[in-house]
Amino acid sequence: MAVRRICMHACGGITRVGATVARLATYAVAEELLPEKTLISCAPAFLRGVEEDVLMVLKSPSFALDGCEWSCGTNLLYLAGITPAVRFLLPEYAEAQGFDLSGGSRRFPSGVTQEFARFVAERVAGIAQGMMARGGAYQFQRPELKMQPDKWFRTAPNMEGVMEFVRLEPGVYRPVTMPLLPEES
Amino acid sequence: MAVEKVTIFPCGGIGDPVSSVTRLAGYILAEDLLAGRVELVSIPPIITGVPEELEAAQAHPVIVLDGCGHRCGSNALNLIGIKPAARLFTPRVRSETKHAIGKRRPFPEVSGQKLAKDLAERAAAIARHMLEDPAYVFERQTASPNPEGLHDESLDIEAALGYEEVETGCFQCAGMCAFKMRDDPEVRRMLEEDVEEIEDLGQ
Repeated sequence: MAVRRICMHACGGITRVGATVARLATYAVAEELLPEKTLISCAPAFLRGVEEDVLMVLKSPSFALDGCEWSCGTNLLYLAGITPAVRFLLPEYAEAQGFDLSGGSRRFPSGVTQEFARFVAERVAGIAQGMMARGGAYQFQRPELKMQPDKWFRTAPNMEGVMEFVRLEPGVYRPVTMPLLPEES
Repeated sequence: MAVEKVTIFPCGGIGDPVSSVTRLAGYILAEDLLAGRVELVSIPPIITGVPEELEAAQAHPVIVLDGCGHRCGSNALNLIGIKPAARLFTPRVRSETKHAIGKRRPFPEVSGQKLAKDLAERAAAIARHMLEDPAYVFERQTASPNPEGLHDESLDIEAALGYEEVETGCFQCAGMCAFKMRDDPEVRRMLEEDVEEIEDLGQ
């Protein structure tokens, strides 16, 4: 089916700057760049079973924003049987784009945290606009929710062993099982 | 015997502005009030299994900060079989302090910052009791998947954890050592003098 909206799925962390970037980038996409076309997935509410938070990741392609190598954004979706359409590994993307997050704030939306979040948001919006383009070829297939508690507490970073990716550029990935993005064709 | 550290577990949501309030309360505790004596942990890493965060949830008493009526923080702990040592429920705290959550999500407005301080003050009082009172007893817990309540909001998490409200907004979990809340003038002074309320972040 054609894509009318995207779902932003930030990693939900709190200890690292990358998690704050993921959250701020999500707000920038949803509130400024693609309002009305962006849903914000809340990881805790998704786990809780809040209906809208479960439905949104089933009905729209997800952009997972991972704040560190542990990839909780991508992994939490995976543990529910869902594969994101696109995955950002933010520390790698930051380094490739010349942003030094070492001095960034995890607490305040300021400085390099805010600047890089805006940069990420614009890259997300660019990909999303291609997916949602009228008459575009991108198709999305709804996944089915699958509970896999036997796979919790898996301690391999970067989804090693469970999900393979095509690297579009440093820090930006598409899972190999997901449709090609418009910019790839 | 008291404990060496306390883990702070804010709800960590993203859609509702209250999650920015609970998150800020966590930062105030970890950076301003009890630096080095508390660990911050968020929800996704304890499910996916990030080693240091999962360890912090098991090794120390956990104070969970639930932001809204969905009670996602409590639910997440229940999903891995960890009992909170204490729980703060933001809507109840707010009913007493009257500080509004606000509407801004990236960082709360001043009213939301005040509410974050209200939460932090209560959590600090509980944490200091756990850290300093030799009579406080905590035994390490072991996480294991407990999918009851996974993607199922019909689970009554209040009943599942046996919560009992001991002060406005502050709950004891069944089976955990009772905590006390001491009024602490030093914490209040730090919150008033050292934790600046920011009107404009220059955005």
